[in-house]
Amino acid sequence: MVLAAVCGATQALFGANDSTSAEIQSSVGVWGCMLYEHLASDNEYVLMRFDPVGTTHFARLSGDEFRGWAPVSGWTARRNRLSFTDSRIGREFEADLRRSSLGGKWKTETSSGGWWCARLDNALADSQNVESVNAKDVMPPLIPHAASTPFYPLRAIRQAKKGHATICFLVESTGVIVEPEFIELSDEIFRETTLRAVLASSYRGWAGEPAARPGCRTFDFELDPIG
Amino acid sequence: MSLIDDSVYCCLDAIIINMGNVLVSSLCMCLVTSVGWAQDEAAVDKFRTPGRIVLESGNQLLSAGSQALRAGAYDEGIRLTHLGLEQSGISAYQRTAALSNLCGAYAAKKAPDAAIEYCSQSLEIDNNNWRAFSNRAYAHWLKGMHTEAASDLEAAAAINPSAGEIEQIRGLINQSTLQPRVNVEDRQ
Repeated sequence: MVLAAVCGATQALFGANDSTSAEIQSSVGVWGCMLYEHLASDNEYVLMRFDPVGTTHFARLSGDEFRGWAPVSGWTARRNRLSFTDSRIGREFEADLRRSSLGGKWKTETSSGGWWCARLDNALADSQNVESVNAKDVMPPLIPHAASTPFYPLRAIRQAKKGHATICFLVESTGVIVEPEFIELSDEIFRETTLRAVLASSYRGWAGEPAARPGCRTFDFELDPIG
Repeated sequence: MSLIDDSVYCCLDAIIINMGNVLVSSLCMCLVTSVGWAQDEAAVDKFRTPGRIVLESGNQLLSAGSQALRAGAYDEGIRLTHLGLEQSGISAYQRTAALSNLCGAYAAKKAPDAAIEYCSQSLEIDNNNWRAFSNRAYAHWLKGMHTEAASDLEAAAAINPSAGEIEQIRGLINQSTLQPRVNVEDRQ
């Protein structure tokens, strides 16, 4: 666990993104995913299933329970980039398969955001199983235990640089944050301080399954005139 | 025409800034006031005698003053520069450079009022001297006069946009006039 965290942090810190240094993963299987939207505070939970034959299915939440699997589109993976569309609302998803977990950005004609997933038990690929599962069993609520705020890099202040960063990660059942990945980073100057803050944070753990769930954190670096 | 850049000096001013609990050694403030003692061929010829070329054709006191300043001996550099300025036959170029040097020296000594006075005198002679503008910007910053500092810095940048010192002083001004804020939003 510690090794995974260190490796993930090292990759995130130095922006390792080439196929020689990062693991290329297969998207096939069942994933518990959270979706966030820019300029919106609400997040969305959905189960995603990528079948070997190239089809994508979503199981959406209804109250505390998931509805059965519904097809959304085919998926394609070219040059380590996964893409598919939620045909119901025209949301186009893309993911860099070299990242430590599945996720990336999404967009429609009028909005955009990001998504991040944790792999779930393939037994959930069965519709009957997914309909009987409670949302909290696959996506337990994340309650902050220790939250660290990044310091504003002095170099950025001196260069009058504002910016933002979004890091997504997995939270293990112990509450420890592992495998951080930058989904958005406006300037490299904010990379290290953001990553340090995320890795210095933790959540309350939970008992039982799942072994990990996804989470993301967005940082906006602002400069206000004094006086 | 040749330019001998014999007296570029740099005062190092390390500022340790405590931001949060992290000590950031941030700044090597290089307040450069260089004096390129101009020597045109005619001027050099005056010092040529058969079998001998006198390389030092400028005001020796000003040269010694600038060297002392470059070495960080500000009081001695200021004394020599003042003496040099009292010599006869100083060109307008030498005078403006020497005044700018005095400005830089007083700024390095954290005496911004004197620095501003000498920079202003230098700029009265030649208002195209970016170092005088940049030194005065630094002196204004020392006094907390950020608007004036920014104005001088813009003037310096308009003359020499690629000067690194200008970016350093702009950084100081930004640091004094901008309040950082980080908003964190959990997405879960």
